[in-house]
Amino acid sequence: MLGELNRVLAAGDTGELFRLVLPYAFAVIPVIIVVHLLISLVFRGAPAERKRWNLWDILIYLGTLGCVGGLAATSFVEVLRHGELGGWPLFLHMCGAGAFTAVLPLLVLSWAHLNQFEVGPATGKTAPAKFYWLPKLMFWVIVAGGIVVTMTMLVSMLPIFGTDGMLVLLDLHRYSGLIVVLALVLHLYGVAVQRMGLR
Amino acid sequence: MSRYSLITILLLAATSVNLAQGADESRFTKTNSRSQYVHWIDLYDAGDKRIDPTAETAPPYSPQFTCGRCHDYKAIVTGHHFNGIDKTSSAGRPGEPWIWTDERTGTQIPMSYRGWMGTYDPGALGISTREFVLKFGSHLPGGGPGEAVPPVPEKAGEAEAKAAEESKEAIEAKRWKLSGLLNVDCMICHSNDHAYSQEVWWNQIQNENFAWAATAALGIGDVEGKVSDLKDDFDPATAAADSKEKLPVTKYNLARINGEKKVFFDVILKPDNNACYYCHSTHAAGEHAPADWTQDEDVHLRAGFSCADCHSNGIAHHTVRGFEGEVHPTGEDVATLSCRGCHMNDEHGGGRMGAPKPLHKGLVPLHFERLSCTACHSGRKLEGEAELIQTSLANGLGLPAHHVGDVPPGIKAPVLVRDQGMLYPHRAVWPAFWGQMSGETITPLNPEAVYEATRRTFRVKRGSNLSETIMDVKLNASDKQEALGEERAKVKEEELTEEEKAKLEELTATRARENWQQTLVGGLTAVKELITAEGAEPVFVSAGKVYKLSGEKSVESFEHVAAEPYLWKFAHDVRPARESLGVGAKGCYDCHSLGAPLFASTVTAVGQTPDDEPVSHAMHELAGYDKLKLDVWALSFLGRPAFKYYGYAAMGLVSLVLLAYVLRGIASVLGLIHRK
Repeated sequence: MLGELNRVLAAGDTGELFRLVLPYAFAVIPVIIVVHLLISLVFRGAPAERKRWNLWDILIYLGTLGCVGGLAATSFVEVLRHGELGGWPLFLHMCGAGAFTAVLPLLVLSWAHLNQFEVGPATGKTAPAKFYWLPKLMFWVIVAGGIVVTMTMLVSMLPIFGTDGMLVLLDLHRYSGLIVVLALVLHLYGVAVQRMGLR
Repeated sequence: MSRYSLITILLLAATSVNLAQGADESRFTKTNSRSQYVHWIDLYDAGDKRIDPTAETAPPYSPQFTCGRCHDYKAIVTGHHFNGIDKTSSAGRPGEPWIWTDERTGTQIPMSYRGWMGTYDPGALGISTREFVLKFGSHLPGGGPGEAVPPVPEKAGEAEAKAAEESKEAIEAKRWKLSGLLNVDCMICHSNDHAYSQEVWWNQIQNENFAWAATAALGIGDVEGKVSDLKDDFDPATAAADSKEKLPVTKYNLARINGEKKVFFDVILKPDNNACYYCHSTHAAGEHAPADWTQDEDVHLRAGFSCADCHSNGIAHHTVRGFEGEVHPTGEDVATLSCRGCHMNDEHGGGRMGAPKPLHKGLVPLHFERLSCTACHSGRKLEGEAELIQTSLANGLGLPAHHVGDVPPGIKAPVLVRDQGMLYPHRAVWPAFWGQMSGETITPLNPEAVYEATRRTFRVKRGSNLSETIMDVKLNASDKQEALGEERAKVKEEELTEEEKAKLEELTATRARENWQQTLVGGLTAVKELITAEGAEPVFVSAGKVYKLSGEKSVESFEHVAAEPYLWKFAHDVRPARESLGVGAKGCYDCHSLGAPLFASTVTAVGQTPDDEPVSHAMHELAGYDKLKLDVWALSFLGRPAFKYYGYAAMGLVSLVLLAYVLRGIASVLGLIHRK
């Protein structure tokens, strides 16, 4: 692994580097989940009262999951299989990107107020929150990452950056996309934990 | 002996050893200066004897022994321009072939000694090196086949020995002795005074004055006489002095000879572009070809480059070809002499000669993995159909002739084809020959033998060609009656209506087609006698199709790998950045639009014989692209501008919301701190 990493770094092949990093990034998620689950089970208290989901919430969430899942499938799978993204998978990835660009503003407008962090001790007068800290944190990561992942490609479509700049944008796109996917997985886990009454 | 004497002796001994070593190393001369050495030199003949150029019987100079005195001729002949025939040399990337063109039989066979796939080895077709020189000598720099005299096989038996003596090899051996060798003529490239005449060079070769060609072409001497006029068994040793039959005579130009009988050679180390152009020019041909004066040169040449700046070499003349991944025989790293290496390569010394690094603003880097530089930057822009071009080697450019668009062989460019996933522009020539088909294998027959076998069948007049002969149809009275009726058939041609003229033209075309079918049947029947392989049948390959007899008087055509075009990549002329694809008003839509010329342009096969349904392919078919994918991709680009506006608006909104909550968060934290 280290030898290959050194070779890739020496060659300056950032695409190949991403391909190497990708499996390890996904391997970290189960570790986080297991650790978090253990802590949750050990320090389990009475589950907090949470706001219920309405149809709109579900649609938005499913839309986001669908878009990000599709984008991940068309990119990461291709990168792992062929080392690059092109042809039909790239076309589908672009279609998914269009959908994600549509879903992200809806997600933000609908969910941002539900994901505010409370600063200071709860007064007890406010309505129950919909999410606890993990989904909230992941929501903001998804939003920030979503902006980066979308803007990097939108900027690439303009004749602003040369090849070197475009490669930097591509790297930013890759890693911010990875962060969004990982954040969404953790968000899904956080929501599942909540639904199971562990939080 | 004193101590000093001993030291002196030792020093002298050491110096003499050094000098001896130096003498070994400096068998060949170099000045190691950028200034040009002035060449007042002695001339040497093919026997390595010094020539007295003022003598009446002075022989022609031999480049091998004259230039070779100071420059390593043995190394020079291993160079790329001369080593094709040497099977131990690297074949290298497929390049332009020699095309054996014979308009009398509709033949155009791409040939190479290098074994490039799609070309034929002249030797395998029974073409001797001498025949090769006499066919292609106009654009041969000497060496290679010009110095490859095959040994005459010795036969033991009397009858066999007599047959061997009358064989083609034996006769050619005699003629080689008369004509001498065609040495590499250094001055064909290194002459600096613009007096070197390739036309004279070619005339001398046609006259079989191989050994005299260099002297005459350089203009240092006049040559009288032709080896081609001499009989095979002519013996110069026994010929009478006043005989009309004698070897050519050389008369040196005294104005170029000094008092020491040395001759001035105006030599330039780095060949002038003009020398390269003689063999490496292309010319737009065909009906819609633009006028030459409307065309620019390669952008590098406009910037002041010379060909040899990039296509350079050392004494071994391994001229750098300049493509990516080229492995140079010397082991030198020549990566920076390719487009990408020079313009894009930061790590390995790119930017040579001030090459700018292109920004390619807004061009997704994926393009560099799919497209060669030349795909967007080289050749003329496609506008619907690959165009007919002529090249120096194929069409004899550089010599005075009446070049018109349809002079064979027809070469089309650019033809965009992928090689290892990368799209490159190519030139294409479709093989055309009379051959034999054995099983699934088709091989050409010797073109001269074909001509002899079909001469009486085709009856092509001198100065005409097979196509003209086929198309030369005279309608007889009954034909005219059939087309126009009995009354109108008698009317003079100029009195006919346009409609009637059209009818006659259509009938003429029909008769020409019938004529072509008959010619094909006749030709295929005639070449049967040349078939050597058991069970093989005669075929005619032309313009992407193979024709074979399907009955006594009919032929059938089919597609076959032997009929596919031979393709070779090209890089010049390079267009400036502003004229490349993807730049300018159309931008991405140059390629990403429905019917974009890069993918939708067609390539129609060209041969020398009539064809009502010529083989034609869209560029994307040849390149192996999925048409549906291209179209879907192109359609997606229609919504791209709107998507950009929408995307920026959406991300602006998301960013504002994020910013608002970040500010609220900061305010809350500050408020908490303030309360505490």
